[in-house]
Amino acid sequence: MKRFIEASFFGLIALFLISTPVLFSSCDKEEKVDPDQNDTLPPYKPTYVSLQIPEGFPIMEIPDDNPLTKEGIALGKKLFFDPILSGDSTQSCADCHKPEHSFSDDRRFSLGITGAIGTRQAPPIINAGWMKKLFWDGRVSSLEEQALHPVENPDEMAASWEEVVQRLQRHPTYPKLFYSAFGTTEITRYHVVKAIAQFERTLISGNSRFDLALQGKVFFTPLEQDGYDLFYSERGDCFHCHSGLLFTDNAFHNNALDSVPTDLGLEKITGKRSDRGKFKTPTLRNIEHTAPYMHDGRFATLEEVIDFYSEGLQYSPYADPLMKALPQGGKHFTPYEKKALLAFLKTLTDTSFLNNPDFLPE
Amino acid sequence: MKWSRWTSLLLLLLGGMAFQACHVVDSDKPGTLTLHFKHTVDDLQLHTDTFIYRAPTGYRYSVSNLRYILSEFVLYKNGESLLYNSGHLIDIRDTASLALKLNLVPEGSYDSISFRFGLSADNNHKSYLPNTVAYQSMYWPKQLGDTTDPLKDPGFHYMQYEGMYKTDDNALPKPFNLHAGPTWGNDNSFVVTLPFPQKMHIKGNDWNVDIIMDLQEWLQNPHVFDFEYYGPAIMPNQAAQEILRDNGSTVFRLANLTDK
Ligand code: HEC
Ligand code: HEC
Repeated sequence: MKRFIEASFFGLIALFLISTPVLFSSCDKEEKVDPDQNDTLPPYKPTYVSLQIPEGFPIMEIPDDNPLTKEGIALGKKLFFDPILSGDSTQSCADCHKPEHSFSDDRRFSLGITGAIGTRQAPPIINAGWMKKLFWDGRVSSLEEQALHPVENPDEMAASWEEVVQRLQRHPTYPKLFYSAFGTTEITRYHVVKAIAQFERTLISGNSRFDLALQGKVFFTPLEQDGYDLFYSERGDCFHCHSGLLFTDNAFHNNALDSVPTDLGLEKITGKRSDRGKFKTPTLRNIEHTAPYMHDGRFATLEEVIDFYSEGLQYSPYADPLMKALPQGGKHFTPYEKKALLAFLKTLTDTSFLNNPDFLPE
Repeated sequence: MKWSRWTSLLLLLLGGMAFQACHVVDSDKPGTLTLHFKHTVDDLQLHTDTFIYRAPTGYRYSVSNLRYILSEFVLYKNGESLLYNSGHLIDIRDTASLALKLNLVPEGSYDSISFRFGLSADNNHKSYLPNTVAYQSMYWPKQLGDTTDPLKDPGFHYMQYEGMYKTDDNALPKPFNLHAGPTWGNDNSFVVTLPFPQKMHIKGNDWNVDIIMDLQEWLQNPHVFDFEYYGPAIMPNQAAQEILRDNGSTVFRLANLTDK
């Protein structure tokens, strides 16, 4: 007699995770009363929202202490586009993370307010809610923590948080907006980054031609289909790192750009020699619109990127084993294979994301 | 009126059943068993990214990454078996993944455990495992799955075991990627059964056991796996998959079964 008990513990965990965002939408949290609340303020009643997650996308984990609200997202968006966060009030996040470029920079290196030039390319902010590690070298672990950095970075917005918070506090409308988002008129930097992170979590792209083809709503052209098959075969082999529906494994790899990497990448964070030249796998969604490419923006076009994977691999002992054609210097794609890969990469363009009015400044 | 009376009766009944169920569980004293996943090469603890290992072919090799899925954990006690029907991804770079707790193990004396390396054909589909970025990066592409049934979800890799090797000590390192999975729709998964070193007496207590994977065994026993011969990309190579499947039978062992 066999006794079978199905203990689907993972099912339970999954259920729990799925239900958390639902909770945000369904339960009204208890009203917080601000001690200094003056009589003109309406009661704090934020509207909790749950995100529309595209079909098949992974579960997005949202920190318990920063649930998404309509008010928080709107405030985050306003802050993202407002130069008030920079030292001389001339630069906003959007100056380097441009919505028309999928929130990346079309310049190779971003220019800070002092004219300082950074050393890395500004990555797109797209499906960032799924990223466990931020920056090319993954040195921070949440969107909230990330947003603390650019404001004080001397090569970027070169402000001080004290100054920025005072400015927001003195502003005619911000205190009210912070109140409706967080129930307090006393603004701190933590409220600022929470709001920005909420906005960033809404920057979801999952409605490209690729997605529609997967759902059987459109058909790939023969060229796109060949590129798709190449991408997911051992011949092209792009899918191991640019994996899943996010087109990134959220992990770090040295993809053999340099035999002597000048930017140490992950090694700078971990101190491990074996992490030399490792960078976070970037998503390929909207890749057509996020040139230039790689952590240092060295490639101006996708054609150059494909040529690199085809003929340009540089040997080093740090290269990832998944760069399987390393000893041969690349995959040596035929001209047709290159064209097909390019056509496939362009199916990842999501115009409904690029043109989404929710993501554009008012 | 009538309807609500029926409902309350039903609720009462259900409540009674729940109470009963709890009662049954109560007389039995369930415990837990935590599996700790450890990794060795030739019985020495694994160190990544260093060329300290020698394959049976004589090549020096280093290990960069190791991720694999185990599923269908089953505990056995005198002819009875208890199935934990789920899968678990182990990644040596993610410490949280290196332990898995089996809850509500009913009272009794257990003599062995079994699990499946990878996922059976029936279970190897996306909805069987949690939908996270880590699991998605284990997806097996349709292009290398059952090509006679292009609509079939090909599921997941069983393993991504990656590193570099040198054919002689002065040679430039080359990549190897032991990616096991459902090549062309074949079920290459296999079940491993391991007897406990001593009986595990569960009576409301918490047990621990190490499940040790010896990476050297993938390359030997019964077959020698030659990196040079099979090349860095074996996902389309069913012969290579079968070598891994055969060698896999001696890859795992148990150690340190304790109730501390
Ligand atoms: C002067 C240009 C510039 C400004 C202004 C700027 N950034 Fe960035 N941003 C960058 C660069 C460059 C990087 C990559 C740096 C690195 O990885 O070391 C980056 C990285 C990021 C990332 C990480 C993305 C990823 O995939 O890891 C996020 C998120 C981000 N910025 C958000 C913001 C926010 C929010 C603001 C405004 C508070 C902002 N940035 C202002 C240039 C800028
Ligand atoms: C070993 C993992 C790996 C493989 C395999 C791989 N990539 Fe990448 N890819 C990366 C990493 C890591 C980067 C960023 C590297 C850097 O900036 O230093 C990158 C960058 C890119 C970029 C630039 C993205 C940007 O926003 O700048 C494109 C495009 C790209 N890869 C396409 C491909 C294609 C096409 C293939 C298959 C031919 C492929 N990749 C295979 C890891 C990989």
